[in-house]
Amino acid sequence: MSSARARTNRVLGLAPVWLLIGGLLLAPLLLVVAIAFTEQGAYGGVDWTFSGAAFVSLLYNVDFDGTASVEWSYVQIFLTSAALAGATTAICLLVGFPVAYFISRQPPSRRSVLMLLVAIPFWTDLLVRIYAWMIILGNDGLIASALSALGAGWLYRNILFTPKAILLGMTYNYLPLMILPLCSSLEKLDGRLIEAAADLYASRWSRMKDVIIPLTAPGIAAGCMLVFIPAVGDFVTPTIIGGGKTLLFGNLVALQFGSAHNWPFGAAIAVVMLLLIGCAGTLPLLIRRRLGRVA
Amino acid sequence: MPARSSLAVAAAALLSACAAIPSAWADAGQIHVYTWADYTSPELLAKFEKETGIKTTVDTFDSNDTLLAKLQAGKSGYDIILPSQNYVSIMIEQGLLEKVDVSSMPNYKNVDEKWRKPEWDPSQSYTVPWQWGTTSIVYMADKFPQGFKSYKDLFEPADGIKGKIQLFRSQDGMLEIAEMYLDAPFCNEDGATLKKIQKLYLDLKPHVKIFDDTGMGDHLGAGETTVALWYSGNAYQARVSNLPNMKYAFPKEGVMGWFDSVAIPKGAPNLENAKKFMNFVMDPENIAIESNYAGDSNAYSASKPFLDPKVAAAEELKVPEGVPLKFARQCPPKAAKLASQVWTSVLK
Amino acid sequence: MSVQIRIERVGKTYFGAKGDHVALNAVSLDVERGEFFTLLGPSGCGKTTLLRILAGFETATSGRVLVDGVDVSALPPEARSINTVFQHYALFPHMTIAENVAFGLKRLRRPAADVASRTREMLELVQMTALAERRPTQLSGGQQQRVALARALAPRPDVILLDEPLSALDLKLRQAMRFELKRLQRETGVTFIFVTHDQDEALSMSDRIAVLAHGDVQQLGTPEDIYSRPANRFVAQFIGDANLLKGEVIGVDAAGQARCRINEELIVLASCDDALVVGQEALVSARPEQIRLLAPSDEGAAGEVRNVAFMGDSSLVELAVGEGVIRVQTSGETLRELGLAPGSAVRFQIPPLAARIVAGQ
Ligand SMILES: Nc1ncnc2c1ncn2[C@@H]1O[C@H](COP(=O)(O)OP(=O)(O)OP(=O)(O)O)[C@@H](O)[C@H]1O
Ligand SMILES: [Mg+2]
Repeated sequence: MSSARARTNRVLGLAPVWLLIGGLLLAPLLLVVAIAFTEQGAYGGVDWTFSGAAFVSLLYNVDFDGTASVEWSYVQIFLTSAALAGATTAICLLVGFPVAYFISRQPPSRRSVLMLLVAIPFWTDLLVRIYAWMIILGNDGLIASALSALGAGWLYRNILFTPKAILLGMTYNYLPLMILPLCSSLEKLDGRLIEAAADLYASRWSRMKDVIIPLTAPGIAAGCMLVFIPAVGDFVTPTIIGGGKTLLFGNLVALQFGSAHNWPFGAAIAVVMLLLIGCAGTLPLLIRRRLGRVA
Repeated sequence: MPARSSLAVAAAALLSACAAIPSAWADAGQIHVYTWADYTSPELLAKFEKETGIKTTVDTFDSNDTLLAKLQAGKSGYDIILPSQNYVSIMIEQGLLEKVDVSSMPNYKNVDEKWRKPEWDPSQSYTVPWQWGTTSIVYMADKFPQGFKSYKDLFEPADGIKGKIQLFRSQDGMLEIAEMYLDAPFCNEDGATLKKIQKLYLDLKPHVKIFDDTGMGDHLGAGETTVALWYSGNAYQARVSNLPNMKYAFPKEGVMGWFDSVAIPKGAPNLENAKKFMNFVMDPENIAIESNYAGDSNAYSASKPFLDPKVAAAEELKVPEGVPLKFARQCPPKAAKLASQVWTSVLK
Repeated sequence: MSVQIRIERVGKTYFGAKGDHVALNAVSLDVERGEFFTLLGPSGCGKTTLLRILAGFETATSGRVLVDGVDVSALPPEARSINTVFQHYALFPHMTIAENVAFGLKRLRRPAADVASRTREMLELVQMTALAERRPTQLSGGQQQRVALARALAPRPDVILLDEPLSALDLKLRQAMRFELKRLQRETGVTFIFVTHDQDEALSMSDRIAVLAHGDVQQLGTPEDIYSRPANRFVAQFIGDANLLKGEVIGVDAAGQARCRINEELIVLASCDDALVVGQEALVSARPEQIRLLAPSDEGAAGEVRNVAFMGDSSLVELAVGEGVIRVQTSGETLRELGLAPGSAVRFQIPPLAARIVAGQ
């Protein structure tokens, strides 16, 4: 009896939380799913009749001359987005890990200052940060002017508006999202375990591979997710400093809700994207569960 | 008018988030204006306020699609909106605008004959002419002296401009340009023509450096690009401020025009005040303030004496005799879908 | 026996923003092969520092460490055939017990079969076979301790370093583990260098002890040496309990014995190492359990009972003697026979050579 009442109380006590989750997170999401299964409205908007057409057009294309064929271009866009986001994640990890390791080995006072410095770029708008890179990389940008001032102008290669610039921009944008969870994970890593490994003949590499990485796996997974998810949906960075020559996931969705006036298709793409990311997102959970048996 | 800048987009997103229920502010002496960022002259609004005692509040949108979506979503709470011509026809068709019989307003007499009863508002019951301009090719005359005479110069680029071109990323106008080049009608549904358009752009793509609707002036100034698509008003402003060598082309096949109007959304809380604003706008002295601010053309010849001499003289704003001025229509759903299919396949 | 580890004038200074700290002055020690060697000293005296220098985690500021005659000062930890049992064990939480024990062997690239058999052997040695597949967090403190030991022993190192391995265990377990450790050391024959601040532990387990204080070795010797012949006042006080009595040397003989007068009634025959001169001042150390209490009618120095503390198997009696206080440990029997209570008068005697002169001048 009383335990039942306690349970009711607990459920009711959490009501605001459920409302928040339901109202702010779930409802919009369900709306997107619903839109994905409707007919395209004449000029934007939707016709509220059930249709799977949006999903079909993800896979099949009726060409201008009426011939139907399997549509590979969206698969290709997914792959390009995933590859770019994956490369960004990998670079962030490679660059971020040593930085995070360094920060985590500092005395606490200096550590918090360094973490603050890492987070500072987030105080400014994403657009401002990307435009800053244009000022740095461009033809008459900082690098070019500095090199030509040194008489080495011929060394300058303009990478603005190329995939390299996208990678650079996304790495810069998302690096803090990698470093911060890595820091908190590495901070908790007991330095004596690393000493113990060295004491037991583990080389530098083995200490990294057999002790540090497995013990900070949750942080690594969290960092990778935090970088990969926004990177895969990022359309601002590729558009602005990538020259917009590669269509990514996010662009495709924006285009459908914008000038293409095809909301159901945009929603369908978003739903597929969500599912794919959701699958990738369970990865850290699995890792944590594996490690959960440890702790 | 097409999208302005991404910063403006961000600002608009913020503002529109704050403006979810503007109707709550409605009271007697007020109108709520929903317009493009950096587009509506504050001086004009101040003058309106001074003359009528009606206070104005301004929200901004980043594209006609945002505006349309807002109206479609139901009571927006706005009194004055500034849609482009192709969206006006949709809004009329979908019953989103208040019918106000513009032609019987006192100042209607000032509207130039040729801009009366345009194809997007044939009875002139809904809209008042605001500003218009064109979208065309700009180029740095010092680096590309031969200039642009035809869209052929774009689709078969000379070596000097290869890899130095910026086009839009959104499909607005992109298909129309190719259609003018191919001498085909807008809103094509013909498979063969669409294939040709697709091929034109796929062949051009390797020579395009940037697909973006913003940053044209910056990239031209920094020497990243030599050629870009741009709007006449922006081109004029950039030339007088920092790009003296930039020229605006009027290709012989025609230029694409855009025409923004003043309209009142259905159920506007301050209908009478909004009508006063419409009539106010049609005063030549008033509309000149806006033209001087935005650097665009208007539909009121009587405003000439009040125009900034530089604006009055701007080459960018004068469509030469013999160059057709073509306004894009909102394509019917099938054509629109085909168009987005073409453009998506070009960008991917 | 042969010298295995030679520590030569090793000094360590920690340089810090708020000033430098000298942890070790110039420590010199030899450790012999197969020995159970203990570093004993109060907290902060530099025991861990010395151990970390031996393991290779810290570099000495001065001096050097030789293993079998070879200078290892520049070698990183992974290149030294020295394994450590850490104070809090530092078992790898993401590995099973068996994986923990096998860790060193795998890093040494031993063949898989050898790794498996040696791991099994080690788990048997510490009686942990049944729990081989558990994770460290699923073990009790004592079990973790044994795993740490097995892990350190598995690669057959030349030396094992143990930094207060028993300090985290409760009293009963700590005492049981003393025997266990000693047994393992005897069975394996590996040199153990054991760090503790607990003198009982040091005395009961060690072959030899180095008493460390203030960054210096105070005394080096067998437990017996250190207990009965403390080299100085610090050692005398730190090891066991000692009454330190100021007196005057009144006679010296050739065999290193001196007569000291503490007060009018109390003259002690004490052993000493230093050359003493008649008439000089000396500090005499006498252990409480070596002092004999006598009836007031007997021959001896007089004192008055101040306090009696019952300690189970014995009692500690505090005597007021002149200005000072002397502590005497005595059996319950004596206590009853003499009928001692606070305030009662008593006599006592320090038997010849039970006392030791710990400092001249
Ligand atoms: N990394 C360090 N930086 C500065 N000072 C240190 C450092 N490590 C130890 N010390 C200082 O050196 C001295 C010796 O330390 P050490 O850890 O060797 O003592 P210990 O004998 O092991 O003490 P305990 O019994 O408490 O473990 C201490 O005063 C300590 O504060
Ligand atoms: Mg210590």
